[in-house]
Amino acid sequence: MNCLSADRLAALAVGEPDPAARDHLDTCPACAAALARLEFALSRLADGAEADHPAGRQRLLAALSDEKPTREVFTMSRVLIGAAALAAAVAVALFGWGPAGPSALAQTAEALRQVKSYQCRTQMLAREGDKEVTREAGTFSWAAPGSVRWDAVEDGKVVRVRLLIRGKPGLEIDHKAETFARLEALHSPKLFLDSLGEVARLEGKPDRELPARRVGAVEAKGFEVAVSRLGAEYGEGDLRLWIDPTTKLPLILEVEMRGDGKLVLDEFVWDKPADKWFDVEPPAKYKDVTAAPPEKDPTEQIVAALKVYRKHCGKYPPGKLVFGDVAGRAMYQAAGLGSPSRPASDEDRMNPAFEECQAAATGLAWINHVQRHNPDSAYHGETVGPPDKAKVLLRWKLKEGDYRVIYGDLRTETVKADRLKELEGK
Amino acid sequence: MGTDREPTDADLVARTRAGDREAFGLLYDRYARLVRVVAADAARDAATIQDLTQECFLRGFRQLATLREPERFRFWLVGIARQVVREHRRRRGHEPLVGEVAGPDQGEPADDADEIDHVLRRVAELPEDERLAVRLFYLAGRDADETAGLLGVSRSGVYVLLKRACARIARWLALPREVRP
Repeated sequence: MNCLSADRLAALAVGEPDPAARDHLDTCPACAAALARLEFALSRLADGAEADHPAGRQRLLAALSDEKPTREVFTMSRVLIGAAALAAAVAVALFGWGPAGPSALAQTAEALRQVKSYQCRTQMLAREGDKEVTREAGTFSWAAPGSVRWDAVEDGKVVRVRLLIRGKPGLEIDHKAETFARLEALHSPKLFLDSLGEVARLEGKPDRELPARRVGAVEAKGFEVAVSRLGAEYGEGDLRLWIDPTTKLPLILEVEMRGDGKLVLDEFVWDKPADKWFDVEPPAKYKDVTAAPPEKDPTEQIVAALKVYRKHCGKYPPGKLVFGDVAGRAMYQAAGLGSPSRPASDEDRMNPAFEECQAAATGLAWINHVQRHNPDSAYHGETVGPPDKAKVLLRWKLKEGDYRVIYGDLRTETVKADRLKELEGK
Repeated sequence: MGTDREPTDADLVARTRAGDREAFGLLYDRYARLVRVVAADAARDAATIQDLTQECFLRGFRQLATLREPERFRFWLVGIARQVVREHRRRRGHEPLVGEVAGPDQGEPADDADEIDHVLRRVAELPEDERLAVRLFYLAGRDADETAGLLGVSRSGVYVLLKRACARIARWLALPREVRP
């Protein structure tokens, strides 16, 4: 037998059986030496793994003390919840106005106002080439006075559940990890259908009529409206809605955000008993991973985020609320990045603005968090900009009863309630 | 009321997401060695490898909310590490790592040290998937299934990469020293 080729030596080195080659090694010292040399060299390739592990660990944990808690598991569900609220709100905006007298549109608005609960299927779709693929799917539930439930579904199974309950602690369940976490009570005044009265006062007409669409046995009438008409905080996109002519209630809602996929809500069930939707008893034997209260005051992160947003957008997130996903998306777009709700591309990572925008997206989410869970907070991005040094941009109540205030020039201060009234002109 | 069960990666990810940073420290204990091996693909000096390892874990922490399958944490982390390495190599302008190759271990016989030095130089010039395949295969105790998972390829795909890379190295080693590239 001839001496072993490099390919056969390689096969032996990675453990492939080759009895003939093994026999040859017994009789050929040169090939045996070549294999030994190769195996020795290869065995040293993992040497980079050796290092001062304790020092590295200490350094990492020290760095993490300045990092945000990463407990926002449901990035997309926040989009879904926000968009679902938006969709429902726009539905009323579309049909809640009209000429004098109870028009068909006004009847629809009225029908929506009478709804006490609903459930629907949700799908977040994204375009990949010529195909539209589902990025996230599940069931969304809403019940008066404004509590919501989101069940994320994968392969036909519910894998995560999030309950946000108005005025009461909620619950988050991860069926895959068999864990649960308690959530803070929901206080945001303008998140869901309880904002319908305000939205219904919008004036004007739908931007355009859409072709009728067959939904089951129903010929549904469709309309489209720009979502920004509801408020600057909703961002840029189009909402399309198809209505059941009999019940006047929506059959399909589509929200297509600029450059960030499409949310579809359908298979609505109206006024279903909701008493069991918000059971906050976690499954037996699941592990409690409830987050400790944030260790740090979020002021610093919020201010840093607003600075980055101002740098790229020239202003603060507009509107009365900061929807973290929407504001983050606007900032990313202004910085020439993709979407914060998608994995970063190589191009994104090479963008000098990537790191700061990524960190700022977290700060924006903190504003969202404060507004959602603090019973006494207010954001004035609609009227306060960078030149407004003495005006209150954002404030929230602290446990001690005082208020944290961030001004238009991003100075911060803790003030008493009386001083806050002066500042806000009350 | 604890359990004697060793926490899984998914347990530690969930605890980290819930704000327990020490849980992330435990993930570091498990996978720092793995990440260092990937980071060693970008540099040979210990300080740079440690810096890149730190960067990988920090990014992992920041992006933990995007991890869909916590039980696959190590595969996901290797993906981040590969990206960090690519960025580092790109910043360096695709230079070969020759200039950074560490000197031979003082305890090695001179011939062995030369051989290792030679192999490391040549490995740095292999295609990325081959480089990582051989590094991870030997780190994983020659476990092809684990290596396949870490690289995101099939078991047979791993063997293709390994054999191709090892054959190249075997050919280099077979050359007389004076004509080696």
